[in-house]
Amino acid sequence: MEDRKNYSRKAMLSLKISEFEMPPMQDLLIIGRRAPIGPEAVRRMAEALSPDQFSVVRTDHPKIEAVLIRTSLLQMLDESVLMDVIVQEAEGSSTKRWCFARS
Amino acid sequence: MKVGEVMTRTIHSVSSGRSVLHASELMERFRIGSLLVVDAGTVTGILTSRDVRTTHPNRIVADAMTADPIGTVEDAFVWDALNLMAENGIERLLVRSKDGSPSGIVTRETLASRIAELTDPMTGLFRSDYLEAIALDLIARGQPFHFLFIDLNDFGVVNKRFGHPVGDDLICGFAGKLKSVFGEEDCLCRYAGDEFAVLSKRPPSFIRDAVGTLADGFSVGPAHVSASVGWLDAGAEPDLGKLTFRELVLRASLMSTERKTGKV
Repeated sequence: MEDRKNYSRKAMLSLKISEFEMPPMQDLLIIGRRAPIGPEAVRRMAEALSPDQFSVVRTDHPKIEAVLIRTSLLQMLDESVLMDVIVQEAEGSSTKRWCFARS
Repeated sequence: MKVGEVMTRTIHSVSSGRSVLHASELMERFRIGSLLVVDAGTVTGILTSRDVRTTHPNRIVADAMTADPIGTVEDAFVWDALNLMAENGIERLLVRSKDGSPSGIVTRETLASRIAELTDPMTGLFRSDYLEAIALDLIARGQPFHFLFIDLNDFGVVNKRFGHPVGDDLICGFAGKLKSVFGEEDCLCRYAGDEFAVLSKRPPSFIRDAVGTLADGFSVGPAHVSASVGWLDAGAEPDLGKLTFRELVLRASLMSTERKTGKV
């Protein structure tokens, strides 16, 4: 009670509500080597949100650590062909810290 | 001599779903360099301070750890454990007890410093207490082996005639010869001043050749020493399990003396 006499605090609360897509990526998520979320965490997230729909494919690329891909895509296209396309597409714009989705 | 004697028995663990930041705070709090990663009671990996340094703190432990860590058992000899680390380029080994459950962690630094205590600094060969530990372990397990006791002939005379530095060169040179004749799988020891011992599980034909080569001795310039080798085949002992290290050394050294005096 004594403390309340000595200071006061004000807070501004602002809310913005928008639709959250489930899952937050459509077909794939590219995980940079130094991204704040790693392949296993992404795999667990995808598995929790969309069970049995995504797979993690790891790479030896210097910037890209792994790609989370919708499993149905891997059934349509050869994994190495698909990964080559994804890596080429991502190379131009990625940094090691990025983690981004493409559809 | 064994990993169980030098390992750290206190194991701190973290689950793979926690953040690397949390793991690094645990390491800081307990002042440790690694954490076992345990999920549902099973060891799934090991996380080291190096993993923490090179990984984004927001990542989960599963994305920073080394899965299926290489391990050893408490009964493994420190030298074997150190070799295992060197082969795999790692700094730590998970130690398991006989039932397979994790019982501790041992670091390369700990093993290296223990081995330094067991090694003769002049020749790089083991000291006698390490040889004794290995011999007793083989005897306890009933595993046959060959034991050689090697005495350099008239070393004192050579020492006086050519000087102690030359004597030291002869000791080191002969130790080098031992290393060239035998290998990593044999236990080579500087037993005392000019006495050496070897414990080997190689076939008798190899040992026979080695004895002949060692008996030729070693030269440094004009200074030369030959060697008398006593060879005891522990596998031929009727009651190997009752053999003591003292008895082993006694009999092999007496054989070496008999060779020296020309009785054999």
